[in-house]
Amino acid sequence: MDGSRAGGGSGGDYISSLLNSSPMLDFGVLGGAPALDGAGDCLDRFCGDPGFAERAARLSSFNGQRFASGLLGMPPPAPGAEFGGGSREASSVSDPGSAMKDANAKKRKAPAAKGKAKDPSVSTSGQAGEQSESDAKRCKAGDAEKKVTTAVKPKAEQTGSDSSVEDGEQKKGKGKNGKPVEPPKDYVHVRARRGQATDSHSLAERVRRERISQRMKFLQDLVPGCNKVIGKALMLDEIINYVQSLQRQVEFLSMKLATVNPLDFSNLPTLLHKDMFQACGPSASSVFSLESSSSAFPFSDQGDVFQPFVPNSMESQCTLNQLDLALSQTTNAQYGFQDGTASTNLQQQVRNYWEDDLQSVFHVDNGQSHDNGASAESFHGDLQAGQMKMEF
Amino acid sequence: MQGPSTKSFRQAFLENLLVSLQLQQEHTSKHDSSSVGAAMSLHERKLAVKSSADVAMAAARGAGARWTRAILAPASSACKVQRCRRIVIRCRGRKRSLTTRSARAGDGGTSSGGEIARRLVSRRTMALREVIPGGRDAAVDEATLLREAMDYVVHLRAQVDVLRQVSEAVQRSGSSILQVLIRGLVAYVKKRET
Repeated sequence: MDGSRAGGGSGGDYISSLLNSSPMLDFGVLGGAPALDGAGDCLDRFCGDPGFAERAARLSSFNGQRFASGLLGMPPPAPGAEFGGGSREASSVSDPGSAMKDANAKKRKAPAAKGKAKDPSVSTSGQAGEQSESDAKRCKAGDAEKKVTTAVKPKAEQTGSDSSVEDGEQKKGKGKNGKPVEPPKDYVHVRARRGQATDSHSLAERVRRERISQRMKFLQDLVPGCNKVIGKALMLDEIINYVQSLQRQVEFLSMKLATVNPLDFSNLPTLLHKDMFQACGPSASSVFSLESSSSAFPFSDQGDVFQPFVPNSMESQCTLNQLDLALSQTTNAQYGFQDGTASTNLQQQVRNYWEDDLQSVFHVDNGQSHDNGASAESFHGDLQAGQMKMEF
Repeated sequence: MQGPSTKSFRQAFLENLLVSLQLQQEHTSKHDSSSVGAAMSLHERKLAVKSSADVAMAAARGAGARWTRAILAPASSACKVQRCRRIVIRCRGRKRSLTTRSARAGDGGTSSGGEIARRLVSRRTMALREVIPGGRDAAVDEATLLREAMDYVVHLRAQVDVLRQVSEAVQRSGSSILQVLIRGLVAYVKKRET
């Protein structure tokens, strides 16, 4: 698609990168995003929907500046205005009288480029171009019903065109409310259809609605069981239920994990001991040659990842130091609990093992494309993989 | 989205889980200095695991989404000011929802189909905001909310999968969580390299 759906496609880059970042999808189509490991065995688990790929591919061709800026959390004025407008929309819904008026004014909003440029499914709305006057009249009649009964006929009214895009999943009664604050965005290049109003407000409004509808479609694919449901309210219902059930599952699983009695790190020395002494030759030398201080770590991404973990009083920036502290204190606690005598010797041993291990790990040449913190070279040997098959 | 190096989400999640579990334990042992050896109760442990899993998921996702910030912010800051700010924002959001709802309710008898639909949709949107972390912010419009929901669902699913595998492994092998996590990480890295 061309930039005509820039608004709707504003999620293009982000969603494509989003989809790439999720472990479930591995779209070569959407290149450009960091190729995260869409491990093959995850694919079938997550999403066997081929339609997803098409939709994602379609989205990927959109420009996505606005979305990217929204990503950063510091929206430039345009999305900011839209946010303001969006938040106002809820309040404007409360005022049906004015909504009516606004809707009438907005109804003129020609879903301009809905024509050929947009969407194959929108082809029906192409014919709607001629019915502008009838649309206007119908708009006045019942704004909300229009939204609901979208499938009726391809009206040039924006809701009609929207519905043709959304295939009738259209209960966006509130979408039409006037939001005359959206400044004209320069990247929105929509071609006006004949007889349709092309003022910036209506265009922006339409763009906004399309974005929403696109995302609803995506969500429909994500949430199992949403395919049968048509209608925004029902779909939102499904989505909410799904998210809540996932959260409940997390709680249940964490409870299950918590029943493994010790959140226990006293096994750490034995574990690391085993792994350490089964390290292969090539890495062993590197391990012992790199006695540099712990602050010299190339924590390019590690730092980012672990930074937010500092709960309260971890003063040092280095992850190793954090872990070290953590370890020392936990082992202290553990040993204090277990046998009443905090064996400092063992603690020292533990600390050394951990440090050596992680040192070696992080000092392994980061020339590898995927800069994993946990390089395997120091953890060679008997992984006891037979005991556990963790499919990733 | 995850910086220059591309670690897969699951691996990052595992690592973060490892770290956060340790930090959790350290945190609790620090807090009850009196009962330094007391094991945490089941409930506390569950909370620790759950919060560390959430934080791990959010951190592994990177800073690209709003919900990650919403999860990480309270986890990392014990600052009162921030907490107050969050409460204020939450109240503001609730007030807005309350006013809109009441205004709509006070509308009287005009309840066309579309308005009913609108009401339903907005109510559910409100409910979705409650569920998605970070959705309560006033600055989150519907489109962003949907995008956040999408993102959150994907990562939540991954989190559930990983947690399930970890718990199965723990039960099967009988070793501790830490061992399982380390082994998993190593196996995963090995697998990626081959």
